[in-house]
Formats: sequence, structure tokens, C-alpha cells
Amino acid sequence: MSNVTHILNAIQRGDARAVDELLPAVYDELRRLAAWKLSREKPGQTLQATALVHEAYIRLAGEKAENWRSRTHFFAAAAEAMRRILVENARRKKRLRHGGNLHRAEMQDADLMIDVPCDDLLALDEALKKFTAEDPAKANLVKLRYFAGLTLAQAAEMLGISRATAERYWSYARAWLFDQINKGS
Amino acid sequence: MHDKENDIETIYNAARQKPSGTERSAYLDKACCNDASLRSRVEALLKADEEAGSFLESPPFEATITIDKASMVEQPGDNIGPYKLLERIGEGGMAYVYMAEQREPIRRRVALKIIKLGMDTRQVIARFEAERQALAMMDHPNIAKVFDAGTTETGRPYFAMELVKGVIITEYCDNNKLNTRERLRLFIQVCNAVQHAHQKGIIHRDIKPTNVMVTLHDGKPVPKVIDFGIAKATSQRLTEKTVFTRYAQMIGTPEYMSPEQAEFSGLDIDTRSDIYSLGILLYELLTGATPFDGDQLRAKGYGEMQRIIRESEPLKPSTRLSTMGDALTDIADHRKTSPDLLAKLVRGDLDWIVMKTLEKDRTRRYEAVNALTKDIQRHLDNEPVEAGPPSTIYRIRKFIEKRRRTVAATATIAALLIIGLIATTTLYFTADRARNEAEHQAKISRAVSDFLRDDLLGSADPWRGRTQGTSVISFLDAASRQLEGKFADEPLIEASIRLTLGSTYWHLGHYKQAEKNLKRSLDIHRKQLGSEDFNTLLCMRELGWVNQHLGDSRQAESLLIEALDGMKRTLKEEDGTLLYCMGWLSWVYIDQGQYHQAERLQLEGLEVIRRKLGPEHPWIPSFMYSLGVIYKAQQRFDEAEKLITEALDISRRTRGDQGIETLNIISQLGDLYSTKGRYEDAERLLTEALEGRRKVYGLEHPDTFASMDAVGWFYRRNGKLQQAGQLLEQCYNKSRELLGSEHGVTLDSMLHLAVLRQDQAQYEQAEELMKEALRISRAKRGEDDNMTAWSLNTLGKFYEAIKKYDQAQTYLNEELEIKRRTLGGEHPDTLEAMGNGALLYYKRGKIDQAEVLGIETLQITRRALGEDSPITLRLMHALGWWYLSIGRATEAETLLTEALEGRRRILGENHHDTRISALAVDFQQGRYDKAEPLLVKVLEHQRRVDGPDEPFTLFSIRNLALLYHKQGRYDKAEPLLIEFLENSRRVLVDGHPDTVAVMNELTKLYEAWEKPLKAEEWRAKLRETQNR
Repeated sequence: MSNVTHILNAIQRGDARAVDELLPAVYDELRRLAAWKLSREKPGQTLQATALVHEAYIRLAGEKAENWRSRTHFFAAAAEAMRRILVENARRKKRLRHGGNLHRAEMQDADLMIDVPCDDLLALDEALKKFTAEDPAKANLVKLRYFAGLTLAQAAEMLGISRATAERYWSYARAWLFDQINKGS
Repeated sequence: MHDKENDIETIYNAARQKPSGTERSAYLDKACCNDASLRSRVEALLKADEEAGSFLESPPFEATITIDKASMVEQPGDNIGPYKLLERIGEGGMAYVYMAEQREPIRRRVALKIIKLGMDTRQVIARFEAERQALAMMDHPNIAKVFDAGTTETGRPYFAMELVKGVIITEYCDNNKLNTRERLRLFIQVCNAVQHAHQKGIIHRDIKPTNVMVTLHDGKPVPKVIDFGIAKATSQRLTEKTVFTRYAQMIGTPEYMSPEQAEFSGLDIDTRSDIYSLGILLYELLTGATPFDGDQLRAKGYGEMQRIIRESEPLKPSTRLSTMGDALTDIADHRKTSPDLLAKLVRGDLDWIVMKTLEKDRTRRYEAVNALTKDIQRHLDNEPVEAGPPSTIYRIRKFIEKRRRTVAATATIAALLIIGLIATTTLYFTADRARNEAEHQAKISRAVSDFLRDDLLGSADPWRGRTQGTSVISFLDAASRQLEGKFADEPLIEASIRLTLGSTYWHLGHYKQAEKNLKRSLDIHRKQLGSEDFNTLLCMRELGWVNQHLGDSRQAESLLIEALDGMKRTLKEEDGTLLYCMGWLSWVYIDQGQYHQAERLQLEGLEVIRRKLGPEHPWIPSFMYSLGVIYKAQQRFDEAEKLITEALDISRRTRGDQGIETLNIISQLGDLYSTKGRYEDAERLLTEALEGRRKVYGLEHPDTFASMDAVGWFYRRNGKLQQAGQLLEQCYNKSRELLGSEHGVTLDSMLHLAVLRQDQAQYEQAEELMKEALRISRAKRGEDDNMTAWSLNTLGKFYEAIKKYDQAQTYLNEELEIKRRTLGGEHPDTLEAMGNGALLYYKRGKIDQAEVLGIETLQITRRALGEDSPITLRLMHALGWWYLSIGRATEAETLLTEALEGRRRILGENHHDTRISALAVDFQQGRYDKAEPLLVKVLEHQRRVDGPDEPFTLFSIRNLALLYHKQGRYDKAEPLLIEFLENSRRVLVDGHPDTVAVMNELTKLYEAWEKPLKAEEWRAKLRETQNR
């Protein structure tokens, strides 16, 4: 049983402490999965970040995929993990560009090259941090949609809000973040 | 601050909804008052919203990840330790393989395998070092040596091995068209190599064709097994943290992996895993395919892949060949033979040998590789092999496992299973097993019973469709008899088989035998395992439910309560066994008329499922629908409709249109619509349920019959007598043949058919059928059975309809007595029977007795069901309506007003029933203009739904006539009074006081209308009636 599966089971049993362990484990798994998948592909092959999250879920939660509670926790953790992976990657790329250390870091798995304009991503991340402090529920919605690739309906279900509420949240969050990023630049 | 943020959000959302800029700014003026900062913030957001375009929008996030691979890959020419890379000769999932040149201490060419993934290099090297000595001791012509291991500059482990220039074994065999014997000889050499390694304590762990190369020595093929020691060195310890890496490797070739390897159970891999993998290799050499397709395994995801490897039984090689279709010609051709001959060659010995290596349980495989080799040699020498055809027990077990996945089965199969189960368990125990195996064995039996109950019987029941349906019963009976005394020493086995038998009988509708077996099973379980054991509780639950079907609802209640209490103490609250126990207990309460208790349980169940299992869990519709049925029984039709409709919606989504539960819900909703007079909807749903059940269960299943009966009964109600006749007759005949004449479904359709004959004025046939039903039910089901009561009721109503009132009275009284005895005096069904009694008195013209009984019924109803029950209110209204029609204004006013108030309170002002009550009060208080239009509508509905000659329709006819009379609209009143007289002739006794009174009213009407001739004519008729 994988670590994530193990933790999901614990959450399922109602072990609240397990929730804290989930994020690092999912983070780890996503990176490994990406590295492994890419290692099997021809060089230059690409993976979609959100597809990766979904694949990870299906593999890790597999048979327990119907379980609603652990699904919610998984995607929340996956969204956060994906955010971190992308942001770290963007930071690293930026460092490299500015003459940072070119020597490959002690990456164990593989060097993931993530192709997103890193300035945009970092700006978004900054804005999102502020927004999280102000309105965590809506920020979560953004993370689930943007980083875990859930549809609005799926994200609404995860958060236990109605579709209509989710639409309102989304509109507000988008406007807030867009405004914030533009102000910042 | 926070509040302000809330304001911003609220105003932002509202403003966004405004269609135009002007409206938006007007709104902002108002909403922000003079708070400029608030306004500018909202405006900034609105602007951002407009400009954001596709910011963050779908497609959600298209970041792509690539791997910086180039920097990780060594190039030819690079030096790694003492090796110089010459060219890349292979690439696997885990590693690149190079041909390399070693310069010191000796000059030779080697194969260098560089591991791709970042593993913990130190550990890999350490593990390799640990085995290095053993590896060095291996010296076998069919083993490629591993010389060395080390670390590349990029920190990855590598292995230097003997360079084998050869072809993968399967390719070699096919390319050179080796026949089966040649393949076997080659395979024996592979086995010898593996055996040699095993003797040195080395397990390969990754035997597969790509690790067995064939080279030619002096023109002779020599297989070489490569990669010894590498799988072990590169397999990290199976901690949860590292399982992913293992997974990554394992997924490369899952088709060769033994169940214990797929398990990651921490179970040590031993030589028997290699035997399994050798078996797969042999399988492939013989058939050209692996037992499980690798691509399919990989495609199915981690859990499913594990499950297949662990549980799925591979086809025998010969069977596999026969499934290959056109490809077989090619495969046979590669083996220099014909398809037929190839299958023949493989069938028997080779099948058994291969299957013995592929046992899921490694203790059942060959104990060592040379045992496998010897068996193959025996086969080649035409001696009997050690691996034989599987034993009987083994076959039964296999059979069961296989059937688990297929739905098709026959009566014989079911019987075989049961008898087989007995045989299995008997043999197990005569085989001198340890006592504590009992528990284990009980588990096996439980698996078998679950299978029988749920898979075979619960879902499809197709085997009951055979016309020899009764033969199932005789098999079961035989099995039952076999059990007697057979397990004196192993009572638990008897108990578990009896549980299976009991459930099977129950599914077949043979409740008495079911009860007998379950009772015995419960006694044993209780004695052996105590009252809180899962099996004891399960038995208790099943027995309770069977008692319910036998009509002993008190016994059912007490068993189910005990079971539920025990389950609540020992199981998780969301456990399915527990929840279903709760659901069943609730149905018992429904049957007892204890609707509040029933409702409480369903709500509790729903709450647990929603909280623990999520809002779309497939059990939810079951509970919602049961709740709907409770409301329906309480005549809370709107709530019932809402719930059942919603349940249906969910069920259609989660279980499909033809899920068993979906079909049950469709039937109930159809029935509800029929009660409400929504005939089109009712017909659509009832027909859908019937069609669905025909498809799912086949034509000859109790539920299909029940649906046929329901549709037939519906047609009858809707006046389509001929169609009704066809269906009901077919249903009755088939059901009698297959389920027996005393089965509830048979009796139901028999009685419905009888009523239909009555409608068609075929009174003799009707009477005969009803009396036959009564006789069968009394004899086979008992005096107090509810089918007996229902037969009495039908007969009573029949005599009532043909105006044989004395007989009617006798039967209906008897029915009432049974209900009082079995259900108690306050059960809704008892009360309904009392109401029927009152109506009968009324029809006979015994107005005083009718009134007394009617009032008594109302009083008890009020007490039993409460002031606010729709049933109480309906009764109140009905009685008031009758008083009104006969002009007893005081009594009418009290009752009608009270009913109106109750309905306003419970149903609200706009409810249909409330409006009818209001209409009655309006009418009673002389507001005729207001009452008239609605009364016309109500009467129309009653004529259509209740029937034109039902007493309450008659009361309404008379009341509407009265209304027109008071308004002086004689032309409208006249036909109504005549309608009353005509309709009442069919149902009321001759010279009934109400008939006389209406004739009197008609006379007065003509007088007031100044039609003296007509008045005189009716006066004469009246006199004539009174004289008679």
C-alpha cells in the first residue's frame, strides 16, 4: 500500500492527524509519478499537470475512489502540492536565468521542467497568498480548479457548496486576483 | 474590515447581475451610499472582472512538464569506472544497457546496465555487495554472470555483466519455428539455471522473456538467464515510503509477477515466486500469450492490477488457445503444427503442469524448480505427471470463484453449489483439520453464501426462470436432508450451510423452510459464538425478515430489534449489514402501522449514510424511497411523491434505469400516481417497471409477476378490461406453476383476476376463484395470514357488490376479526376494515349502525394516528360530507370545520385537500357561488378515480344537486338527482333511506320548478318504493 493510500485510509477511519501528513505525501507522489512517467517517454515528451493529478488519484486511491471524504482531502492536498511544485519550478527557472547555480541540484527523482511563464505564475502565487489570508474558502476553490484541474461542479462538490455559490465565488475570486496582480505590476 | 469585505462581495455580486451600465451605476449609488472607498473597490473588481478574459479559466491548467533527460544520459565514449561505453544495446523501463569495454584487470567486453531512476545508490550497491559472494559462486552455462556493480558520476548505480549476444527466448522460438517439444527442452535448460541459482541461495525475482536470451553454441541453442541479483539489489525495502519506486519498476512487467510480489504484503519473496514466473514463461512459450495481458494490466491502474494478479484465475493454456480465433493459425504455424494438434498437445499434462506453477497460493505450486523440470521430463517421456487434474474440492472451489463473475447459472448449478459446499466442508473436516480451522471455514462458507445470496440469487435470479423451477426446491430439500446429523461434531459448519439454505429458500419465496433452516442456524450460532457474533446477528436479521414474510410481524420485530442492537454495539454505524437491518425493521413497522417508528429509523439510516458515505451513495435512494412509502401509507401523498421522485432520480443516475432498486421505486411511484388519478404517468411507469423487470429478471420471476399483476390491475382500474384480463391470467397461470399456488404473488393475481371477472359480470368464475384463493390461503398459509384476510375482504366486497349483504357481512366481519387479532385494534388496516364495515351498513340501509361504527372508527383513528394524520382528517371530512348530504347541518359543521382547520395546519392553505375542506365549509355555510366551481371539479375527479357509484361520489352528487336546487338552477340539479338514483341502484339496497330521500327531493324540485306532471310521476314512484 502506498503512503498516500495509507493516509487516505486513516482519514477515512476518522484519524484527523492524518490530514496533516497527506500534503507532503501527495507532493512526493506527484513528483515521483511525473518523473517516472517521463522516464518512460521519449525525451521532450510532455505531461499535463492536471492530468497528472487525476492519474495520481486513480492510481493511489484506486479501489477506494468512491470514497468521498478521502477524495476531498486528496484533491485539496493535490492542488496545494501542485501549486508548490509549479512555484518551486518557476523560482528555480528564474534563478537559473539570473545566473543561478547551473549544476543540477541533488534532485533524487528527475529534473522536472515546467513550461509556464514563471513570472505570471509567481505573481499569481503572491496574489493567491494574500487572498488565502483574506478569504480561504474562495482561495481553495481557485486552487482546486486551477491546480488540481477540477471542473467548477466538481470543486463545488468538494467544498460542499452549491453550484450557484461556486459560480459567485469564482467570479469574485477571479476579479480579486486579476485586480491584485495588475495592481502589483 | 471583515464586514466591509462582505459588503464588497455582496454588492459586487449584485452589481454584476445588472444588465446595463446605467442600472449598475444606479445600483451602486444606492448600495454604497456615500462610501467612496467602498465604491471604488467594487468598481475596481467589476473592471477586473470585465478585463480578466480567460484568466484562470478553463481549460483549467495546461502546464506541461518535461524531463531534462539529455543531461542524465551517458553517451557512448563516456568512461564509467573501468568501463568505456561502446554503444547502447538496449533500454528497459528501469535501465539503459550498453555494450562496454573493460580494460582492467582484464580486457573484455561486458554489458553495462545503468539504472535510470534515481534510487538510493548506496543502498543498491550495499545490497549488491551483500549478495556478491553468492553471485560469484554461481557457475552455470545457462546463467550470465554479473561481475560488478558501481556508481556513475551522476550518482546512479550500474551493473557489469557477461555480454550475451542473443535473442529473447520467445522470439528465438518463434523465429526458428520450434515445435512444442523443442520449446520444452529449451525451457528445461532455463529451469536448470534457475534451480542452480536457487541452490546457491539466489532468487532471480524478475524472470521474463527479456531476461532469458538464447545464443548459439556450435549451432545449438543455449538459453542464458541474465540479470541475476539485480532485481534484488534494486528492489528497495518495501516500506510504504518506497513503494512507489517498486511500483514503477513492477509495472514494467506485471504479467510475470507472482501474486505475493504484487501483494507488497511484506511476505518474503522466495524460490516459489520464480517458479510462478517460470510458469508464465512456459505458458507464453506454449500459447504465444501470457495469462494476463500486460497492456490491460497496466491500463487498469494499480489496485485493479493487484487484484487481477492476486485473484483472477488464468485460463488453462489449451483453453486460452481455443479463444484465440484467427491468431491461432499463426501460433500453431510457429510451432510447426496445426491449430487442432496444438490444442491437443497442450491439453491435459501440460495444462496441469502450467496451472500448478500458477497457483495463487504458493504452497500449492511445485515445491522446487526441479520438481517442475521432472514433471516436464515425465511428460516428454510419456509418463504420468505429478500434477494431476484438480481434486473435486478444488474444482468446486474454482467453479464457485469463476461463477462469481458470470451471471449465467442454472438450477443445477445452484444445487451443485450447495451440495458441493457440503462436500467441501465435510471433506475439510474429515481431513483431520485443527479445530481452530472452524472459524476460517465458516468464513469460507460465508463467502459462498454471500455469493449464493447476493450474486446468484440477489441480482439476477435467472436460474429460477427454468421451467423446472421446482427442481431447485427439490435439490434444496435434498441438501437440507443431507445436513441432518452430518455435522454433529462441527455445528458451525451446519449453521453456516443452513444460513445459505435459509436465504436461498427465502429468495425462492419458500418461507417456511427458510424459517426452519435459519432458526436452527441461529440456535447453533448463538450457542457456539454467542449473541454478539456477526454470524449470529446476521442469522437473526435474516430470520426476522423471513418471519415478516410469514406474517409474524411481532416475532420479526423482536428479532430485528435484537439484531440491530447487537450490530450497533459491534459494527460501525455505516456498516451495510446494520443499515439494512434498520431498513428492514422499518418495513416491519410500516406493516404494523407504526409509521412514526418506521419514519424514525429511515431518517436515522439516511442521516448516517449521508454523513458517513456521502450524498450520492447508492443506498440513499433505498432509504428515501422507503420513507416515501411510509408517507404514502399515511396518505401524505405529496411528501411521498417528492421523496419517491427524488429517490428515483438518484437511483436512475447511480444504478441505471434498470437497476433492481430503480425498478422497485418506479413501481411504487406508478402505484402512487395511480392512487392520485394520474393515470398516464402511472401507466408509463408501471409499464416501464414491467419491461425493466422482464429484461433484468426474465419472464418468470416473482418481481416480474408482481409487475405484471400491477399493470393488469391498473388496466382494470382504467377500464381496459380485456388487456387487464390477458395480463392477469397469464400472470396467475405462470406464477401458480412456478411459485406454487400458495405464493403471495399467485394469490394476489388470482384475486385480482377474480375481481376483473366480477367487473365483466362473470360472477360464477369470480366467486370460484375467490373461494379457491381463500381455501388455499387458509389451508397452506393459515387462518391468520394476511392473504387469508385479503381473500375474505375480496369475497365480502364481491357479495356486497352483488347485493348479497348477509354473506358480505359474514366475510367482512371475519376479515375484521383477523385484523384485530393479528394487527391489533388500532392498526390502520384494522381501521380501514372498520370503515368498510360502516360503509356496508350504510349500503344496507342500516344508517344508525353505519353512523355508530363510523364515529367509532373516527375516534379510534384519532387516538391511534393522531389529530393531524391525513387519515383522521380524511375520515372526518368524509363523515361530515355525508352528514351534509343528508341535511344534518350541526354534525356536518363540527366535523367539516375541524377537518378544514387540521388540513390548513398540516397541509397549508393551497393544498388540494384543504381547498376541498374549505369548499365543504363554504357550502355548509351557504356560500354557494363560491363553492360551486370547485365542487364540480371534485365530483369529476371522484367519478373518474373513485368510481361513479362509490358512496362518497354519491354524496358529492347529492350535495351538488342540493346546491343547484338552493340556487334555483333546477335544470342543473335534476340530472344529478337522477344520476344519484341510477348509480345508487347498483350499490345501495332497494328502498335505502337515502334513495327514498333523493326521490323525495326530486319530487320537490319538480314542484318548485312548476313541473307538476313530473312531480306526480316521481311521487308515484316514491310510493311504490316505500310500499315495497
